[in-house]
Amino acid sequence: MRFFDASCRLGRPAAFGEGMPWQTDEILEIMARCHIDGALAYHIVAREGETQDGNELLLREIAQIPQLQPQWCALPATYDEFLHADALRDAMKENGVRTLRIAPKSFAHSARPYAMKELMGFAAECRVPVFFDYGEAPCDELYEICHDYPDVSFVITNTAYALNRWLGPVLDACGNLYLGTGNYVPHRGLETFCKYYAADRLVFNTNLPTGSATAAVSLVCFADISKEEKELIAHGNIERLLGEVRL
Amino acid sequence: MDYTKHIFAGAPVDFEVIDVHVHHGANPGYYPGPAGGDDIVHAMGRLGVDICCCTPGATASDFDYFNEQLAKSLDKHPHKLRGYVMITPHDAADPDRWFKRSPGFIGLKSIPFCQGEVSIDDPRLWDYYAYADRRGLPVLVHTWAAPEVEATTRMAEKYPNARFIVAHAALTGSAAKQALIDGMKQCENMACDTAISDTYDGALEWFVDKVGADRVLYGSDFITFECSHILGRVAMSKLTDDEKEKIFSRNARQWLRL
Repeated sequence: MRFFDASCRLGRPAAFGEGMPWQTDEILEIMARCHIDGALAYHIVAREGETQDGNELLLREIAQIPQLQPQWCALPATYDEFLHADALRDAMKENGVRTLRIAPKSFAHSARPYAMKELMGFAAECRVPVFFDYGEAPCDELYEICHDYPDVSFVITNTAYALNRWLGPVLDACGNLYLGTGNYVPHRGLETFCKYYAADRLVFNTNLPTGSATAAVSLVCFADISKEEKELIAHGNIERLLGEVRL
Repeated sequence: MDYTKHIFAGAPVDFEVIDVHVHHGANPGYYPGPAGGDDIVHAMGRLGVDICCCTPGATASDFDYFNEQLAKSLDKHPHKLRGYVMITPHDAADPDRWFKRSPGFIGLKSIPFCQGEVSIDDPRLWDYYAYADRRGLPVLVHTWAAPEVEATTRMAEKYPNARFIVAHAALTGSAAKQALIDGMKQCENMACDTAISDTYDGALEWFVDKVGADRVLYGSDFITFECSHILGRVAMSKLTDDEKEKIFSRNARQWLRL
């Protein structure tokens, strides 16, 4: 079985645990060890500092690394601090960027339509999947985002174990929500998800370098689900979402 | 051994695995399903885990009830399950009755943080540790931060024949890890487990590099969490085969006298 990681991060973090591999070649070593063929990657400078500069840094960092595809961090262009929709479309097309990552809590902006209408309108029109960490919009906020933008495919990453009862009703209500499997570790979490929702809404990711690729791969390999479901989770679903992007 | 191949097979592994940190009983905040002995044994079969050492309940409420529930499962699955008797600082109960109740009980579980944020070295727990000391029993201790590890170290010094298994702290924060390294160097009757819901690749390798692999025991914290992710984390780590074998089973056999 081959894996494609729908979300990992590059760049030097402000703080990192002892032995944490954060350099790009270390990330690539782990990917190889875990048989992960490719990954969508964003840059920590874009996520935690200068968004546009960080996105540029990312492009330079992965220019010679075919396994890594760029994921750009995005925020509303309210103060022209980020690209407006037309320019964003051109820039993404030019640079082969097919997904965006938002962080409304960290970037301190509303995720509601009065603030995000332009960006989310672009994502809906171009079928660009939008990623965000669960902590950026937990619980009811997750529902609000998915409900406010029904034509945008959202992938939540960096989830946790005590999530089942929060997540289920949102999945019921919002067909545009996808779950990144990295660190989704409730007991029998993937089996329960497949039984009640469907494997086609699960997207393999690692959350590297803060997350564990070895754990993420193991979760899928040992899940008590069919081989076809595992293939969808491991790579099929993200490949389908990426294939639907129209820039 | 090609551990990665075992993981990718997604079938029960054929190397020995002894899990020293399993929860018997549901934690309603975590897992919306059954979590008794039958469920644990079923999950063990899916992964190929040979023995699970269980703590009663997810936390520490109504310890008599949960000790009894676990005892029933130990009776039913004597070759698969072992148990720790839950102790409490709020009741000077004699743990001996549980060891008489079931031969599957092999040690004590101390989690006073969940029993009113009592310290691990609270004097109300000393009789229990003294009991473990007299009988040379393992005590699985829930820790997270450095003060809890340091309190465990004080107890390990005070009761040198008891064998303390420090849960979680090998893979939490920097201060806790350092306290554990110091404690394990100071006290040969301290070990640790691999249980953690979320950590990064490389964390276990770093810790083993500091203390060696002889006192690191495989623990998953399942059924609180899914049981497969720790298995893969150890199996596909950069540790040597010998280190993996020690962590997966050899250390537990020695430490728990299985």
